[in-house]
Amino acid sequence: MAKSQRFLRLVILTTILSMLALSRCPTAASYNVARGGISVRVSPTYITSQVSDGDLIGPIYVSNTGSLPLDLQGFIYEGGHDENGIPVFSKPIKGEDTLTRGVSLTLEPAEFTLMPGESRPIKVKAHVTPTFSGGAYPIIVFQGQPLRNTQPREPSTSARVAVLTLLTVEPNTKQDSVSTSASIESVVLSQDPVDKSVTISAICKNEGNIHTNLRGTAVIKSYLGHVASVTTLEPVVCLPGYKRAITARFAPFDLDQGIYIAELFVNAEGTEQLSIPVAFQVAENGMITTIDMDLALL
Amino acid sequence: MRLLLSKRQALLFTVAFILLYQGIAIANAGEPVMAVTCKVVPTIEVSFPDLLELGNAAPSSNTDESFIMSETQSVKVWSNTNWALKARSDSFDGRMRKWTSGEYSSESLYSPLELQVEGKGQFTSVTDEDTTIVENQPPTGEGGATLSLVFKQAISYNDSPIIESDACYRIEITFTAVQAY
Repeated sequence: MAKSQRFLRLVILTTILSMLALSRCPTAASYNVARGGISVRVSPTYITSQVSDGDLIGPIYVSNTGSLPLDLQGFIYEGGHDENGIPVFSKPIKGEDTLTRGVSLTLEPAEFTLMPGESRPIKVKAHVTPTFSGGAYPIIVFQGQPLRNTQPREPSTSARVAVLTLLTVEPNTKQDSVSTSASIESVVLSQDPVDKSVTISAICKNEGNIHTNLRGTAVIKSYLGHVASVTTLEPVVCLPGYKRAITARFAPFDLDQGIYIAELFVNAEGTEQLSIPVAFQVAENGMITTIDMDLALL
Repeated sequence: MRLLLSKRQALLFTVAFILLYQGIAIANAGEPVMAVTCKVVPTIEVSFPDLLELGNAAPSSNTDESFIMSETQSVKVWSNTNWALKARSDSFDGRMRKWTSGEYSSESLYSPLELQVEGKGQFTSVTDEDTTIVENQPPTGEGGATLSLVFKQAISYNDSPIIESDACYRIEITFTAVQAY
């Protein structure tokens, strides 16, 4: 009897120890993954802030999560993006005299060394020209390389992580204005040949002097005006002077033979709703045969 | 056995219930309440190999065989929002230049170093312009996302051999992890 009790205790103890071992912190588990030479963590990587001259933004925490000591350097780039919202870098801006849309940033410190496991807060100071109002979009880039006393040979790499900023400066006087204006430059309608789902996307341009959030809906109607399908556009940010694609995908559904109108309603903050209808013809097999921007042609 | 209560018992029960409920409500209202909040901020962590030695490369008269290929290199990214990866080099045309005593010379290889991502698509050169090599990547979760890269360097009889022990052909590649607007 005593033997079986001892065995039972052993089983319970083993079970408890196994459960404890299996319930390790998941974050710790992910950090046990073998790393490459340079590992950097930057947080936050997206900053939205209203600034005035001399304001401090952040701090941004930069950490060396790898096994090599790193030399790190911070750069400021003029912000911009492609039609998919992927940041586009121009040449880095050096010195306080070169301003990004009326706002320049300085990093404190701009150059530093981090030993493995070390982390450092980086202060970001905004410099605003007195007459500027609107949006400014500098990109802060931290670049890490192995400490300089290790002489690299053949192809070597350096790691960079970009921090996007959406900075706004309030107008000083009533004469200064922050204007938002957007236009739809083109609309493309396409259909998946497999599931016959319809996708409509538009290229919108921000013609104001501040960034805007593009959002809206898309609808497919029969030629007589009966709604066949409605979908929501995924909201996207568009910087002033840049173009951005905004896309809506209609869930697969059966389109009967006939003429339809797909219409995209785009809302840019502070502007009137933009809309471009596209007419298309569907064949007996449910596939789109003709697409035309001019409704009169169908 | 009858379970029905008399009118008097039912009334007493109702009054007792209301008093008890109010008492609990008053007691709760008097308790100090502490709200706990936090914000998760957009964060990216990246891990790149710092050095890639392609070793000795010899040209061949058969151009289909006249190249050197790296082993698969891994780039690991952790991100809690959509992300993209860009690559650029310190060579305007993507060609490796002779590196002696810590300096580049004007001598360079005939063909540019080329890069292939995830074993798919064509090999492309890495110039001094930032080029997006992957985009619209979803948040990675705690396990991160691993990208495999392969480098290829074509070698020809036009390329000058290097005799000096302290020299090599070199290019520096910079990877940039970035979130989308």
